[in-house]
Amino acid sequence: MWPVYGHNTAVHLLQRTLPSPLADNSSQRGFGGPRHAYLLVGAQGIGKSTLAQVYAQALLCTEPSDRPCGVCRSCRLIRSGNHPDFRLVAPVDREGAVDRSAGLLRVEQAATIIRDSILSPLEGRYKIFLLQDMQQANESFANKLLKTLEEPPAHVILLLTATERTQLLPTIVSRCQVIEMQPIAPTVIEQALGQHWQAEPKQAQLLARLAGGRLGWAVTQLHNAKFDAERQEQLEALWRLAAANRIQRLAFSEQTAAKGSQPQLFNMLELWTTWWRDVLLAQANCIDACSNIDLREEIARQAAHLSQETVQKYIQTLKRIEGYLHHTTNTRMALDVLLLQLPRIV
Amino acid sequence: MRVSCLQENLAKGLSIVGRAVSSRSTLPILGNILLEAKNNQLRLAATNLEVGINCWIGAKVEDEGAITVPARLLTEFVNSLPADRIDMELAVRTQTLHLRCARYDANIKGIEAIDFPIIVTSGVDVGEDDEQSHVLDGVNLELETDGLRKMVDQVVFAASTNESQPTLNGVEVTFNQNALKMAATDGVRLSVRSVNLIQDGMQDIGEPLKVIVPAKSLGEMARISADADDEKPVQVIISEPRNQILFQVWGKSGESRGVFDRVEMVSQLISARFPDYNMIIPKGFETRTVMDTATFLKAVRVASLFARDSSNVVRMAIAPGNGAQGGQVRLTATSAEMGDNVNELDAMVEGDGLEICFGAHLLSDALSHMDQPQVVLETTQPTRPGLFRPVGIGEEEYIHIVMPMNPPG
Repeated sequence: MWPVYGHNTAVHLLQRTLPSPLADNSSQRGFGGPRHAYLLVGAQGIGKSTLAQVYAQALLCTEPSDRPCGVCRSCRLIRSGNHPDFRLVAPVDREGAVDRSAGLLRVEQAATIIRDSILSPLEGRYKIFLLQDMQQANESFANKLLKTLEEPPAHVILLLTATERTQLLPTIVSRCQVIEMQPIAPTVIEQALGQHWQAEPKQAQLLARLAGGRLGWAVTQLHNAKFDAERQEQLEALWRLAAANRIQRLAFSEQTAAKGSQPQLFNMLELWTTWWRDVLLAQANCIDACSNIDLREEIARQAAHLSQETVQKYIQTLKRIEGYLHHTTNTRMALDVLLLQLPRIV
Repeated sequence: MRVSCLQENLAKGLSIVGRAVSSRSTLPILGNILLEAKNNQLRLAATNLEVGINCWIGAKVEDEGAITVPARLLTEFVNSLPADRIDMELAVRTQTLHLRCARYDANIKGIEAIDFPIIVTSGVDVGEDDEQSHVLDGVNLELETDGLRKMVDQVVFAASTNESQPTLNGVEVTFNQNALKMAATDGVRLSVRSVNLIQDGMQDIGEPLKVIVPAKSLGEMARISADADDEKPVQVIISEPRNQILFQVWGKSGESRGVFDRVEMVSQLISARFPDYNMIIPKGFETRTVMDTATFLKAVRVASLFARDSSNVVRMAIAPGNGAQGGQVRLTATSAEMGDNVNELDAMVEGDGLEICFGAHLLSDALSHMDQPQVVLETTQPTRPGLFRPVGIGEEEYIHIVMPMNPPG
């Protein structure tokens, strides 16, 4: 059993590539062995790096069966981040400090990877590089890596992660075996939060439903002390706006646009989308499937006030505006439209 | 762990292994040096995953044990201490190393030694309880310390330092049954050095063994062996399956201060194909010029002052002698802004006259690594490589080839 929650398909796929430890054709890439490069694609926090690290651990584990064993020297070194044959490469800021949100994978890092990849592994039979957030690779990084990615030395395995394959150069994608990561089932997340992270059952249930299949997101929010208050505040703002007149709505739009915080804005849009989806579910008599499981009464109340078409149409508007905001639109104007079309509940 | 040793010895050991500490690594433990007290020796170890150095120094061990501590802090602290006895004690629970020397006291926080990467050893004094897999198994050779150091010096400078040509960052080392050959090139010059090995009791290595050793590692080995006992040979172990080479040198005996007992350096080999340099070694010559090495070097250095601004080009005009008068070489360097310079030197010229241009730094690098008083330059055409060779040693022992440059303008 791999220490990974969910992702059965991906785990199964990778497990089959583990070479038999008995066959001593070390680092031969025969049929069925590991590929030279994998690209794990999935939403942020879905568990791409976790899976990649476990795969690396399994490849380097020295136990004969049931890898990774989790107790051998190799497994211990990976977990403490000191395994000499496992390299984690993450986006960095200008000073070279790791910054996964706004940093870039820079060309100097590519040079280091190329140089390191030529040296043979020190302790294991493979040398494994985990390149996180390839969507944040700058173009020269990606281009410099092409040759290594196409034909790395026999002992090298490259594991790449990215949120969407369309955000990478096609030349990168075509050189990797792509593994699409599916969202994890809410019940699995709920169980994971309870067992592994000792969450309260109620909180685990709510976070699992809000997570949208992203265990990493749920864990982050579990440790975020302000999460409940922020969510409450934003939902109350939404309800207030639904009852408000145009002037109040436009004032809110102005305030939000002036803050200019993109991550916050998208968080809000995500929350709103989930909310209206719940309302739609309630209208279809599926209120038990909703995400905001603790607010069923309010969902039912709003569902009764609005027609299905209104809600459906507004969800479409939300998605459309969100798409615009990812590009260079005028934030204020996009938000104005979003708020003016917000269904009115008196 | 409780151990005592002399400050000079520890400082020496740290300066040796300190070269293998990686300054910019992603693995936190690689910034540390491993200290291990065992069998009345203190082992110091550091690695950057490309090169690993183990250094044993004499010590009085009261309790065996091991710890890794930050290299920079430990080295700077030890270097500041007076030449006296250092007592070290490890607090296992907190993984803190306590050092005491004269009236200086320090506690250095470390990382557990078991997390340190394994550096393979030659297995000289491996006990029964040690894992045999940590011993490097392979072809075993013994080479003369002093000779090997000179050989390395004459070759490594020609290796490329450009990291985008990883193969050329290495030196190709060929072990034949009775000869050792090293070659390095960076694309504009090539240095090939070979020696005959006449030794008894050599292991039969069968097929010639060719490996590419990183030039940096060889240079490091030469640097370490400068402090070694020249009487004792350097032991070399090459393991092709593990792709590693190990050098072992012994410390000077008879001294007790500022010395090490033994150093082992393990380097990863570069697994690639070295270019077939035999293709570019000229087979014959049109002009053969014999010059005095020191005079030639001096003239080149003077010319290089003027060549600095014009892509380092030095023009060599070789004129054969005519009966009464000996041959001559004129070195010319011209800078459009600074001025120009002409240096003449006597030479024995065989064949036709010729004008050829070389990079000044390439000439001075090559000449400064030649020990013999006279040097031969063999040339064919201004666009073909020139072959330098010291006079007085065997025909094939040392050749240095430099590609010519296009004359400026």
